[in-house]
Amino acid sequence: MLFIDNNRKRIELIKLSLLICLSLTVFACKTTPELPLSLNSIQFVDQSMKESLETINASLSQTDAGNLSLNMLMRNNAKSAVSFELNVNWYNSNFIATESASAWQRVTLQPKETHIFQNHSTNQNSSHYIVNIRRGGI
Amino acid sequence: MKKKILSIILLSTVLSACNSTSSPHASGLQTKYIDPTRESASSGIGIESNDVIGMADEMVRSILNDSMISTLDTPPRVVVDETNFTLDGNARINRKLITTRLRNGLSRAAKGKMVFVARHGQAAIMKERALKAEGLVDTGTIRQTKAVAGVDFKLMGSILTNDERHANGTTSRYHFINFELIDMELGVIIWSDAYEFKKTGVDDVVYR
Repeated sequence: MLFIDNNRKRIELIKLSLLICLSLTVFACKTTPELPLSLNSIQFVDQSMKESLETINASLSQTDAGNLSLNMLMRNNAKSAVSFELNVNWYNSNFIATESASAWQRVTLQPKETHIFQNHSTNQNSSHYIVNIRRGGI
Repeated sequence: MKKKILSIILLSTVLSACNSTSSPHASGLQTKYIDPTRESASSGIGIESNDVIGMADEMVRSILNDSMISTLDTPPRVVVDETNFTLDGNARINRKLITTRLRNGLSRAAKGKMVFVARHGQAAIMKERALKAEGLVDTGTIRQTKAVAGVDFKLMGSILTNDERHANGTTSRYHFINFELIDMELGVIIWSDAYEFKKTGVDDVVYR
């Protein structure tokens, strides 16, 4: 009788431990902060530009120096000319910045005009990018 | 009564503190920081901070991704200063601003792939070497060399402009800023790139 009681207690203890573990796991998953940005993405500082400016086929290739070259096609879909600036932040796969952000490059596009944006990394540890686009001017 | 006096003193102290932090400059305009990467509010047609930052960054990325420079077995010794960087046109800009920013950007990003020779500090270097040679100071802790570093490559370039005056009183200025790295032994150009832009506006901004 005593043996059965002890066994039941042990099973209940295991059950309780499992439940605690499960709740802790669920809690941990819930509290892990979600990053507002993702690697290899294009961020519009001015959201209103998203409608007029189309970004097509952003791709990475290797330069002769072993660094990365980012190429991206851009098209102005608005009915008027648009001026904007772009810069690139380079990261490794752990989302750690590997070099200084590039300077802002200014581009003006007429309606339906396209432009190939290009930027090179300067560090061989750079493997991912985030492009920022903001409205040109003051 | 005492409490009242204390409260009045406290209130006046707080008020005077608030007042003194928000007082404007004598001219009536408050000093404020502005983003140097943005276009200037003055809208002049000359080279401005955003142009200098942009062109220096582009040249740094271009030099460090050049196949000829990046495949050298030994890091080349390079001089980047304003001595062979000429101003040929109407632009008014401190050339040192461009070459210093370029040197600074290159030395931060090169990470040992290039060695920068400090010819701009040659006089101070020679003075220190003379003191060491005379035995007035010791030899330092790292090394002693027969001579200072010779140079493999030197930055040369020019700022070229072309102005157009329009009937409505505005002026357009086209800037072509050429950068070259010259092999100082063989005398050939090993890398070249340029930054160009055109601005239109009323030419009434004074650049100093």
